Amino acid sequence: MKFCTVKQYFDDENNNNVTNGIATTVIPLPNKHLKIKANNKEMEQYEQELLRNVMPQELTKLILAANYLNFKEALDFFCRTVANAIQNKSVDYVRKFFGLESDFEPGEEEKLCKEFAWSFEGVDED
Amino acid sequence: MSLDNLPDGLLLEILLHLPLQSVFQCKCLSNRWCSLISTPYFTHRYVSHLHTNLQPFTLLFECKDDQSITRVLATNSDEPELKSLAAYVHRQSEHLWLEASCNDLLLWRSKDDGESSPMSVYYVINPITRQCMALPPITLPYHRSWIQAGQFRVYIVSSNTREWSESKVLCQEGFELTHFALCAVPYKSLLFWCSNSGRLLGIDPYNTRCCRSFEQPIGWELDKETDCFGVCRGYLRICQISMFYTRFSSILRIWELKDYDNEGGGKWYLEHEVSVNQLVSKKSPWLNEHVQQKYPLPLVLAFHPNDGDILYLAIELKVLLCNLRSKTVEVFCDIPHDPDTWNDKCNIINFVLPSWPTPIPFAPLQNGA
Repeated sequence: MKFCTVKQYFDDENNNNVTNGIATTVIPLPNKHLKIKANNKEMEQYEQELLRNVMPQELTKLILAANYLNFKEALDFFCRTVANAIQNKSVDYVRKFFGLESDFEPGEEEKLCKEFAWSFEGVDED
Repeated sequence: MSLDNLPDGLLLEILLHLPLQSVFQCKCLSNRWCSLISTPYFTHRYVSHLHTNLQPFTLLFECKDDQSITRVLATNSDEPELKSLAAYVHRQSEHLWLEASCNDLLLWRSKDDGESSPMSVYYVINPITRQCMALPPITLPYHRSWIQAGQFRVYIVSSNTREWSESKVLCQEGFELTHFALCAVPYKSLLFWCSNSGRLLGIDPYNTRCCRSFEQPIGWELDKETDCFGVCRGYLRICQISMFYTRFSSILRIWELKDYDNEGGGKWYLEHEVSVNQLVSKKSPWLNEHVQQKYPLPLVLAFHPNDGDILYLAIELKVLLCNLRSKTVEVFCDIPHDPDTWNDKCNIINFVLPSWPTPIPFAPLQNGA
């Protein structure tokens, strides 16, 4: 029942949302998920492995694929992985990780950092 | 294709997994992130996503430090979110008296008034986000704990008008306030005060002609005062320690007000009845001996906002966590200095951190925070 969307994909060849490579990572997930559902430690290890081997850009595709396939557990898992990767990291690190540029006016960023200074207590320098 | 190319909806899914502090840090990444996080929709999703109802909380209390300045201490600063809170309130209490709290907002009064001017300056501060708002100065008559039969005056300031307004409240009979409860307990849109005889009076701050009152619970000892009054798990609670001199044991009782919403309703139910010297400490032989053999009269500090079985007590220079269901008691933390206001039931204030910090409208940051 999770894969009615997948069938649709295979039927619809013009679809660019999911590449073959991603399909091989996302589709085995439910099996893996079921096998290690009870075992949080293994899931954590799998998560670490994923982070090590997979670049942020790949994570983007994984998230989009999981979303497109309507696969809630995988989506949650990938989002949590990204969240864990950026938690407590500096603003610059997070920008690099996400591949985004600051679009603030000069001085605006400083103002914001000052306003939310309380949230920055105890941040890793990288 | 970078992560930033994800649509807003999926970025939101990532943010839901972050702790609160990280979420606020992300506001500094770019305009898009800042707008995304500032919407009420985001707050709503974030709060709903949190699986726990257990909001971190701490007790704040005043005691004199070694320079005889009254300072505010926090009992529970091990929670990661509350770590900086203890240092912050300690700093603030150099110049301010802590008067009251509502979830994560604290009400402070300037220490500078008194002799020099009759005006009091109050501040509302969120000690986590460091937002601070000064209320207009007001001249308040000396706190009267005995309310004359018929009426008393209530001074209210609202965050909408940011002005003080004075109202007269009519009440049936003389109502002597407990000496620890000069500030009201907010509950279901009313502000409740508790009398020493265990009676409650609730007032609607928007319409002070509208009030509810409740008689004391059955089984209340009329010649003994109220030991604690507050809210736990969404119910009003009242506590009394009674003493049966002949039997040399003190009995602690807690009543909870149920059926509040029923027509003409609101009835006290006895939730806990525990003999103080039956409490057992598994970790502290000193405490065991003290409780079981020395017939202490503990000071009741506060209820736990979420756990109905827990009560905070104080004996000597220690705050104790008492589980009334398992009848155990353990030392929760030490009080470093002798609070010489202890005997007068010093000000104990609850601080509860909600899932999303309460904003103070139009409030700038406090300088030097």
